[in-house]
Amino acid sequence: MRTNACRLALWIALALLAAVPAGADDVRYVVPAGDSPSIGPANAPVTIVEFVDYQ
Amino acid sequence: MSRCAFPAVLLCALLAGAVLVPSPSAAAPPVSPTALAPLPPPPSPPENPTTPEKVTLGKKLFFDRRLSGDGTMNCATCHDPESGFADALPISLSYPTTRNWRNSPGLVNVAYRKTLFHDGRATSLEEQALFPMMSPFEMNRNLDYLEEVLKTVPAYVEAFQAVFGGEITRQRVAMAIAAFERTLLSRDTPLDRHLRGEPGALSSRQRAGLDLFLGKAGCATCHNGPNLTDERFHNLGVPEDAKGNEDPRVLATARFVGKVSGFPEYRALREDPGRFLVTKDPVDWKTFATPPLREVAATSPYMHNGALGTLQGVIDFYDRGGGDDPKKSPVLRPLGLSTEEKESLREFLATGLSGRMPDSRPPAVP
Amino acid sequence: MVKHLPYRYRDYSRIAAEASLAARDQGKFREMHLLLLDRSPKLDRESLVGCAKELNLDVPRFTKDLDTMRHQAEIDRDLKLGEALDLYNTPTIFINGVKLLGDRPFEAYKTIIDRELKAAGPGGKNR
Repeated sequence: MRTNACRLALWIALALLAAVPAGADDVRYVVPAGDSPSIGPANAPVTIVEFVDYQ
Repeated sequence: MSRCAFPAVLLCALLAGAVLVPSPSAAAPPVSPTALAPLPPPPSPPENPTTPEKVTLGKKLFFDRRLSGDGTMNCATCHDPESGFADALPISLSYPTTRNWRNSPGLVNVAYRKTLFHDGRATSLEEQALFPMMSPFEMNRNLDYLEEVLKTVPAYVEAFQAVFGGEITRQRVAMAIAAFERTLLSRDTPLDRHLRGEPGALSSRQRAGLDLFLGKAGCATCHNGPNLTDERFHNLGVPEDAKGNEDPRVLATARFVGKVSGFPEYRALREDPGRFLVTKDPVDWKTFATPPLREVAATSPYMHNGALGTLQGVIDFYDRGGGDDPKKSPVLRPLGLSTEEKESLREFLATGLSGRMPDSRPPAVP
Repeated sequence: MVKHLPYRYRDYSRIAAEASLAARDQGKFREMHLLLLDRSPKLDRESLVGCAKELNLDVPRFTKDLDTMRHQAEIDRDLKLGEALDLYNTPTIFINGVKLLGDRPFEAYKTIIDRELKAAGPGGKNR
């Protein structure tokens, strides 16, 4: 499925999601990072995990 | 029908003891405070009474992906408990390879609706529930096939026998889902507590917002009654997304709906005609249902196509007198709200109408 | 961080996922990822080999990885994780654990990212 190429500029990865404190009153999911490919510095404050289908 | 300029007699039928004399040349006069009322307990229709077992079954079905053609979607996909029982998108999610053309309405207090859908084509929850399942751009499930699939699940066979005393049918699937939906309630907002006579239920800002809601801002002209909706259809001149409407998948959806609605000129459709597709009355062209407003903060973006992303945007829209459609409701006119008035109104809408969201964690689906 | 959730009823979802991981092995994940999103839905085998050529990858190695489905296990693991999280729709994006379903306008993501950056505080400003 198509995704907006502009927002790809935001890819930042953290080694471990669990390290980030929960903020407001959203539900927060813990997504295990594993060794999935990532873009951006490993110690970034914001982690974005995308489940993608290229087609 | 959209004209609030109709004789007061029609409106009186809707408002408990309120008097409203609309006139196209004047701003909406203050609506009597008795035009608002706390919500009564939810209805339990005799032809489908609500029971705990039926609700449990309905909840499982609501979250069951077998209800979609490819097994990826369930009702909760577009009516997500974590997104105000809508899906936080301008245009609702759709079946893979297709595009939807309308915003997903939130389901909080849906028990009290007289009609369902933005165009009001269903008059009961039971009637509504099967539409998205059949719709090729929503869940895309053949109902004959669905009945057979559910019958292969022993837990469902047992549950339908216990609840309905018989086998699984599409009507019973809809009935169970409807019973579950009738439990999605919000009845203890600050407004409700205020209407029940609790002193100090509303902060002074919320109170100021309520006064505007009933008065200068004219909201209660259509957002009145216990459920804050007149259960009618109005054209507000909400702008179309011209670019989005060029997407062939959106056009296919629009024309498909036009076709199955029996609109002869469906092939020329390039925009959403709203209630017109249901009544074929030109007076209904681009009119859409007045939604209820409790928990409204949780269901952005707003309007039938999600054109307005925030409550601030909605207030600004009405302050301008609505959109640009020459056929829009004559009740709409510029309000002249000050910045502070807009803020009070926004505060009332965002917090005065927010109580406790119904909890709905996904159940174990058989 | 990218995880793959190829739709089982699509011809090229799977092989495109393989392509991105084959490129990752050759150090060009980001480039291939962006290229695939750009070229979608033209993601048949020939087109994918074309992408590898464009990125100056070792093409025979890349092609072999595709044809032998070298990263099948990794993709299956992502799929399983998706199922465990009850995800079926793509794209699904988690920003510091906050889930967002479906294609959204840029601003929707920006709002949340900005909020998270703010919450992370001055020490966390490390983009």
